[in-house]
Amino acid sequence: MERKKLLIADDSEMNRAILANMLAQDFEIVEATNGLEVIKALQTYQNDFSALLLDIVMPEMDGFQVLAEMNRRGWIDSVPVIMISAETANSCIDQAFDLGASDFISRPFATGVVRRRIINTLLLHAKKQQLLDTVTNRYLHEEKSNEAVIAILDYSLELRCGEGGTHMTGVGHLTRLLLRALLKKTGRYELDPNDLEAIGMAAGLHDIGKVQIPEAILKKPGKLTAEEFEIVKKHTTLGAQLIEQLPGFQNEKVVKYAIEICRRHHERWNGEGYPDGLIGDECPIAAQAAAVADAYDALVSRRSYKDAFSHERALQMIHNGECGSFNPLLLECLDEISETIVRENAAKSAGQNPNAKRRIVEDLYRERDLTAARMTQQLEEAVSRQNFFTGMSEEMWFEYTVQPSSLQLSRGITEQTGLPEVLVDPMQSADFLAIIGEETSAAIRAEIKKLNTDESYAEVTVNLLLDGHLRRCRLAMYVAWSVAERGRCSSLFGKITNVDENYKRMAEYSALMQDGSDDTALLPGIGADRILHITKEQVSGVLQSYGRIYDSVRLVDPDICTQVFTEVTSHADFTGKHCYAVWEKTQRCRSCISQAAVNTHHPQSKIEMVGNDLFCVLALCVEIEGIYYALECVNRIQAGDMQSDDGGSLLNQLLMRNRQVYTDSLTKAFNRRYYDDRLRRLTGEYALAMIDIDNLKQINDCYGHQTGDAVLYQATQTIRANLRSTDELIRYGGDEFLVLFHDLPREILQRKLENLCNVVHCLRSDNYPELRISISIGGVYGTGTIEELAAKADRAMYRAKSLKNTAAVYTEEAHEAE
Amino acid sequence: MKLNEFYAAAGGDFQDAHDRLRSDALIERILRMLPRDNSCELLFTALREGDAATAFRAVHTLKGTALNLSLSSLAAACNTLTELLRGKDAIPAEAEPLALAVRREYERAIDALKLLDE
Repeated sequence: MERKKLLIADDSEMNRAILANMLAQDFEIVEATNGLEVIKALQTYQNDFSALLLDIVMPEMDGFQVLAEMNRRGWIDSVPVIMISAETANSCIDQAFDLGASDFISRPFATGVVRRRIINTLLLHAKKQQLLDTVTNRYLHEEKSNEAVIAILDYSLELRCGEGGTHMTGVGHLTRLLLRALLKKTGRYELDPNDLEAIGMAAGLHDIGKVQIPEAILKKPGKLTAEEFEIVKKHTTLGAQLIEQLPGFQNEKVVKYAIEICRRHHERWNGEGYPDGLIGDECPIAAQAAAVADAYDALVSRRSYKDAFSHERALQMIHNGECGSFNPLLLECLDEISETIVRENAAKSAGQNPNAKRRIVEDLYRERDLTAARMTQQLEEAVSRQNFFTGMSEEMWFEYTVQPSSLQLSRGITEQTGLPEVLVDPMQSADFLAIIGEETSAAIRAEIKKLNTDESYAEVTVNLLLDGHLRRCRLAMYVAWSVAERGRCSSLFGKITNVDENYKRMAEYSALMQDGSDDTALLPGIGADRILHITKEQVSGVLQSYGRIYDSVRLVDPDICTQVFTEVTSHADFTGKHCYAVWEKTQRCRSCISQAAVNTHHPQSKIEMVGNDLFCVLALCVEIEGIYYALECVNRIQAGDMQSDDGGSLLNQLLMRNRQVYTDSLTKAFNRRYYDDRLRRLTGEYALAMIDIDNLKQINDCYGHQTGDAVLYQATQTIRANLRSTDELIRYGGDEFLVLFHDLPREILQRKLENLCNVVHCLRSDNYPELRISISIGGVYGTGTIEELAAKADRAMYRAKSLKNTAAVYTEEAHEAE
Repeated sequence: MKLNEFYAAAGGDFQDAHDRLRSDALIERILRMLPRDNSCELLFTALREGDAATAFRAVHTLKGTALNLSLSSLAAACNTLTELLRGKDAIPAEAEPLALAVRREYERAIDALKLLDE
């Protein structure tokens, strides 16, 4: 069985000791003495614990409170909890199980029973996780095609309405949330999970009637006339009719609900709605919920005639009756799910979390609502995809699904490449390979491989055959990770931007630089808008004139991360190098100030570090014939530039900090990190000594660790005092030290080391006068890497160690014989 | 002195402890932690200060420990007081004699421990 962490929580030290003793062979034990400590430990290690053994009666926070807190934080399903208590009352046991405990063991317990029950709990837990994965995987697979159809419908309808958002999916999802909250609240409406699923889908279709309303009215930016409004109102009855005429499917729940919702989603509780002015529950509950969802989603979305309102403002407006009157129960539900909506919105704008899908499945599993899970999942995915696509500007986009392997291309791509809209198994298609080429597909694959599973954005520049010409293109990709198999990409959405022109322009500027005159007269200054407006003929002059002020100046096109430098030489192949390469990076800087300067039209600055050198970088926005670039001016920061106000140098402070990183906190000698970073690989002729403090373990055991530490400190200080300032003392291991002597004559080494033994042996402890301290030293003099020499010194030291309080110097004869 | 003699003197069930914990070394190690356990002290402090909740927690903890070690007499004494104090806001008058019984059993075990060294 795999050794994993086990958290034991009990306020009695003796009880913890018994359990720890029983279980130490199978688990790494972590102990907690009260409830608060349990929560802290869970917070620190979270997923590391395979189980929690929890006592009930504890100070600060008792076991039940711990369980409640774990429920609140959503941890109860990730860490199985086994209660151990002297309580035997059934009410206690019931309460523990109700709060999500996996097992309950009463005191007194027997070793075998406890072990077996913990192991059973762990096996059960693992099995459940596996099942959840299978279910998740299964329905994702099945819903794939369904989902695509909905996304297409959603997209085309919204394109027509000029809304360009995700209104359909938004309303569908919100309607389901509202109804779920409503069902918890009242038994008045009879809906089962299948109804909820159908209503969610049907609510998405509420505005389908708009396909028959003239586009000019739908997209009209100003206020509608009374006649126009009458026409728009008809989308309710038109939508219902449209679906009623649908051949077949009339017995499907989803169709029935869709007709109801299309017709009724503008009815209002007080009868002031349209088309029929129904009052109260005369209007079916599904349509009532869709109406609330529709009103909310319209408020928080941007429309041709209004800006988006905030979530809070939208709730307020609905409560104020600004969208007409609604069922008061549904308004209560809206308030109850408010937090969920805010959380989901935040998750959406932060980019989709790969765990989100799995979490949804877990949520629904808990409520035994798997059918409904499918719809939520589907809508979630459609939303994230929409957000991604609408966020990027139109034209060339693609979607690749790994299983089954298929590629879907937008019209932009099909027009420029002649490829069909859908390609099954594209890597087997000769037409496709002719466009994309081996190199490009390899580059994409390499880029995805670099991502962690919590990252989903990748960018790569490749050559594509567009309209018969090879063009440099930038591919921005969104990677969706497989839920079932960690680290596997399940699909890829992306947008292609033809950046060939960008490269051509940079090439042109570069050429102009080469035969550009040195004429820097009559250059324009920076305007009141903080942008430098120049012609392409002035590029060379600007770079040269700024080049006189700064160490280095370059013109950067942040879209393609490419640059033109001042020092133009024939080998300056700007197309081959990215702008970030000068900072020794392999991808766009996290803080790309050129992009920021171009986006904000304001100067930006940052500090970069290459090796030990610091650079100050300034980016100005430059406009060259209608296109924006960044002018990056770089100066190296000199030690003198870093003078701080109190007279000290910032650089020195940084160096001090650096020194701390390399200092052992107890002995103030250098630490092992210093040895590994700075010394280990040095090569040359050196004298080296390995020092071991004799009997330190016994000292620790007999006199306590405090005394042990004091001895260690005293010994190091004495050794240090007897070394030259150029010698380096490193704490190599627990009680092992290494001394590197620079330029020490060979013949002095033995005497030097014996001297160290003597001075240390003269040390006395104030508290324990009887305590004797001694060291064993192995020395070496030779040529090689420090690491090799240290190994030899170590062998000599082990020889000395057998005698104690002795120094031995390594000789080939003595040690080869070993 | 052997563990079984300790159990006889302390009013416990050695065979039960041995069957459950399976290691005499473990039992002895845990027993020797008994004088360090401050539950009994905490119980009396809490009783003096009229803090029923803490008194309940202290005697409950001691009961758990006693059960684990098969110190049956101590566990029984603790159990009576635990049930008396359960859910109480104030300390009932009957608590005092019961608490004295707990201390008597606790000290009996501690005294027996001293024998273990002989």
